[in-house]
This record gives sequence, C-alpha cells and structure tokens, in this order.
Amino acid sequence: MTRAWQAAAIAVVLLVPAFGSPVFVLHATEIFVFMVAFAGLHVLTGRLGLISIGHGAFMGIGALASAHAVLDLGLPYLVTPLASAIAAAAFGALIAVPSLRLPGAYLALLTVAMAMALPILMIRIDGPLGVRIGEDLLPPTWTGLDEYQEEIWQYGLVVVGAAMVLGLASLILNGRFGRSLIAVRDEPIAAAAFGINVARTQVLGVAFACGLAGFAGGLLVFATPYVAGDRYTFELSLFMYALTIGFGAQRLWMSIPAALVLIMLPQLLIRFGWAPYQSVVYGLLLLVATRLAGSGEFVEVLRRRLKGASRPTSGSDLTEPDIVLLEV
Amino acid sequence: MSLFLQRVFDAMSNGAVYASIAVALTMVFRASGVLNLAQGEMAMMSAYVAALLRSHPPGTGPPGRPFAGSGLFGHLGTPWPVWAAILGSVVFGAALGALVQRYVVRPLGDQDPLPAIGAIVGIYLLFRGLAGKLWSGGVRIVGSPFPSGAEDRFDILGARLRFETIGILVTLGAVLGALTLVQRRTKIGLAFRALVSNPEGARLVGIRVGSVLMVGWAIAAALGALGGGLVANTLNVRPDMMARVLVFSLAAAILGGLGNPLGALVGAFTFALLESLLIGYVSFISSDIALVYTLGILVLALTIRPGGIFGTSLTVDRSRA
Repeated sequence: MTRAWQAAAIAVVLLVPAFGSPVFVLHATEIFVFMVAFAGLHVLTGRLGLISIGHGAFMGIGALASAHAVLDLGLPYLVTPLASAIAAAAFGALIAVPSLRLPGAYLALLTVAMAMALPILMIRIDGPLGVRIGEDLLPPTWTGLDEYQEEIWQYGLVVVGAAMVLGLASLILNGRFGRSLIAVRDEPIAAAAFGINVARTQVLGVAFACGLAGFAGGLLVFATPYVAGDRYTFELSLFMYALTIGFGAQRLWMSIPAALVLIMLPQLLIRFGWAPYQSVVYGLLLLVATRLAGSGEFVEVLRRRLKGASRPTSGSDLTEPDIVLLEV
Repeated sequence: MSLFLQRVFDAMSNGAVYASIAVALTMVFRASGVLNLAQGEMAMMSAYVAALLRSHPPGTGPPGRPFAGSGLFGHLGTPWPVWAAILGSVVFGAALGALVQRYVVRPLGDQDPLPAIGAIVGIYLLFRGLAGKLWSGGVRIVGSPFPSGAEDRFDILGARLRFETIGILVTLGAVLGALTLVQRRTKIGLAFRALVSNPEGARLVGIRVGSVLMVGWAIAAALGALGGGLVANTLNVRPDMMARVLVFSLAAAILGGLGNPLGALVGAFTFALLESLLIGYVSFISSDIALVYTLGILVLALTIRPGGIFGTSLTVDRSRA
C-alpha cells in the first residue's frame, strides 16, 4: 500500500468514532473483529489449501473461553482474547489431528459437524440466554470519555487488538512458518525432503487459523457483552466460508472487504426489505464465484473481466478434456 | 427388556432416513469425489414438493388435514394420495439431482474438488433460503403412506413395533436391493462401476462420464427424496428438517468408509441406535446434545480407523484435495 492509502485508512479508522452514531460504531467494531476471523480463514484456505465450513464455531469457542476466563478464573478483561485464542487453537489442533490423516474434505466435514454442534453445546453449558460479561467494560477516566460513550472505548480496544494480531499474523505468515505452510500445501514430498515436518506444520497451521478465529471471538465479547449459542450459528460459518471463496483467500488484506460485507450486507438487505434473502445472496455468490473462477481467485477473474482482458487460463483448463467420447 | 426393544424399534425409522441420505452421499462421493453437503437440502426441497402435492387450496380441506401455505407455491388444487405425492417428490428429487450435477458441478471439472464443495455449499444456502421464502407459513404435513394409527402395531415382548416403521424399512430395503441389481446387472450400472474404479480408463473406453454421473446424482437425490418423504410424517416438513439428519448421515457415511454403500447403511443404523440408546440410558444426554456425542464418536473412530470401518484405499484417493 502506498503512503496515501495508509493515511486514508488511518483517517477512516479515527473518523468512525468521531462522527458515527453508536450503532454505526458498533458495526465498525464488529467489522474489525471479523477481519481477524477472516485472517484465520486466509491461513486455512489460502495458505494450507484446506477449507473450514465451521469457522464461526471456533469464534464461539473463543467467546465461551473468554466468558469463563472472566467468570470462573477472574482474569482481567483485557487478557481474555489471549485465553480465547489458546482455547480455539487447542480445539483446532484436536480436530486437525484425526482429520488430516485423511486429507482434503475431511477437515471441512468435521468443521461442519462442529459448527452444528457448538451452538447446542453452548446453550447446554450456559443456558439459552448465555452469560453476560463485560458490563463493566467502561472507559477509564484518562480517555476523557464519559461512561455513556463505552462503545467508543470498546471500538478502540478492538481496533488496537485487531491491529496487533493482524500485524503479528502478517509477520508470521511472511516468515519461515508462513513459507513452510505454502511448501506443505504445494509440494508436501519436497517439503518433507527439505526437513519440514509436514504433519506438524499442518496441525500448527490449523491451530494458528483457529487461534485467530478464537481471538476474534474474544474481541467480539468486548463489543457485545454477552456470549450465547445463538450468535455462532451454522449460517454464520457458511456465510464466512462463502465470503472467503468470493473474495479470494490468497491475500491477507482481502479479509477487510470480506468483514465489511459480512456486517453491512444484512443492514443493507433490511433497508430494502430483503432480509430473508441473505442466504440466497451468499448461495448465489458461491455459485457464481466457483463457476467463473474454479479454484482460482474470483476477485482476480472479476478484475480482469472488468478490464476487458481475456479469461485467465486457470478457469479454462478445468473444463472437460477434449477426448472423443463414444457410445457406451 | 421391553424398554430396550422399544428404543431399538424407535431407532429404526430414524436409521432409515439416515441410511437413505448416507447411501446417497456415498454414491455421489464414489462417482464424482464430491461430498454433497446439499444432499439433505435437496431431500428437503423434495419433501416440500410432496407437501405441496398433498395440500388443499385455502379454506377447502377438512380441519386437521394437510394445509396450504400462504406463499406463491401454497397448493396445487386437489390433493394427491400420499404415495403419489411421495412418488412425485422422488421424481422431482431425481430431476433436481440431475440438474445440479449437469449445470452446477460438471462445469467445474474434476481436477480439484474444492470449487465443487464451494458450489455445493452455495446450493445448500440457496435451497435453505428459497424454502424459507417460497413456502413460508409454518411446518407442512405429508402424512404416511402406511397405516399409522395408534393401533397399527405389533406388540413384541411389550414393545410396540409400528406398521409404519416396518413399511419404511421394507420400502427402503426394496429400493436399495433394486439399486444393487441395477448396478450389478445393467449396462449403466456397469458403466457406473467402471467409472468408480477408474475414471480415466472409463473415459478412454468411451463411457460418457458426464451422463453416467448425471444419472448417479439423479438416483442419489431420488433416494434422499424417498427417505425424506417417508419420514416426513414424523419429522414434519420444515426448512431445517434435514439439518440434524445430514450430520448423522455424514457421520454414518464416514464411519462406513465413504466408498462403501453397505458401510454407509451399517453406519446409519449404528448411529441411529447409538442416538436412541444414549438418549434413553444416559441421563445427562438429551436429544439435542446427542449430536455433540455423535461428533465425539466420529472423531474417535477417525483417529482409530482413518478409513472408516469398511474403508478402502479409494476413500483416501478420492478425498485427496
């Protein structure tokens, strides 16, 4: 990004609490939360070539861990996202170990099962209404905010937390570990020959991805102070998956538009009275994205189409081979 | 003893619907290497068609009979008999399966299963959203094609075996038997088996891979529709009627080793029995939480036997992304 873009981004981040209504600030906070979660999907899909259709469930595990770290262990709020990340990463590793023994679709399957089971489990643990925490997450006096402006303080906390984690994730992904993830995805045998422990790298990668989702779940507790099973539904996981496919998982910064759409689309649909069509929209997005781009990048294909360039080869070489077919 | 027997009997009709979806998943997976996560939603759409064929125009039916919804697709004039409605839904299901294969999955090619999974999740969301919208207005009722009154049952050692359960099991058994015969004895069955064992080779000897796959998907979807239609009496027709079924069926198909319809069948009844017995005998397991334990059992089973009970090397090959 150029310097001008960076300045513009920082200006937008600072202007939101200054001029936005409390509801708008809340949505902006949620957008930052989901950026972290989508970064996790970037690791899983873009770097490891795996798919998770249950990423919302890992956020739920993070939120649950956060709530119980505060309620049962008495940890201070500000460190709870770390507890969330650790819990979700542990769960991710737990799911990854058996499923990666059979590659490909199995992780997706187990995450589907998790995404369906988790809301039930959360309701079982904490009751249908969940638990309320974070009610005393009020701005300290040095900020100059009064106690009714808590959403601005929470926004600030989430932005700082998200920025720190995304920066850290970017460093890790550009470093040795990030490159070994790509090596394991593309050439597992060559990677092993170069001394990379393939299985361990994959499990660590999944744990890292799930840890990011868990951290996001912990951050979400700052924004809305209750943790309940009905927030981390299977639909949420499916929508996140759809956006990962739609926006392409190959670049970390794509988690920004993905998070924007995830939070703002329902608001937009409600405004036009089309709220029940949300899953239809995501369904169509998936169908169009996979049709146009195959395993390639949907956004990339769209960009080229809009510029009038020819179709990329990655889409066309996926069609059926030119073999003359005879009658059975 | 009678309580135990009762729980086993109760598990049977659940087992039948799990089995129909699990076998459908296995067929599709064997042929095209794609796990059709929308299999349950396709069956749900078919069940809605059965309900649609059964429903009266508003204000004409006797009270307590299948009712019409308020949506555009609320009713179609005179209600059909139950068996005809289920047959209609099976035909609809087959057409849906063929269309999804032809226009959604086939254009994506078979090099890489990830786009296909994406498209299938897209279908899942699309059907879920459409069903909620098109047929808004509460649950729909199809009714049972078998005698299903309170007295239609055998009493065996104090347990009640309902005629409906027997009817569902016999129908499913007959259909699966017929499918096995089709696979073993007919030309298209031979083509299907050739395709399963060696897709490249099948293409080279001139089998129309696309058409065979389309037929495979159609049969699988019809099977799912049959399962959905048969249990619609106990499950009721709702947009989320298949959510739970899908998890158990996936678990069953994986436990059975994904490449193996017999394994899927065994897996389906295993999970149905486990569900019924866990809920019945373990006090802290209620029907909602049984799903969680199913997941636990699945993870455990995959850890011990990654290929499932009846798994083959095909399972591993086909699932390689």
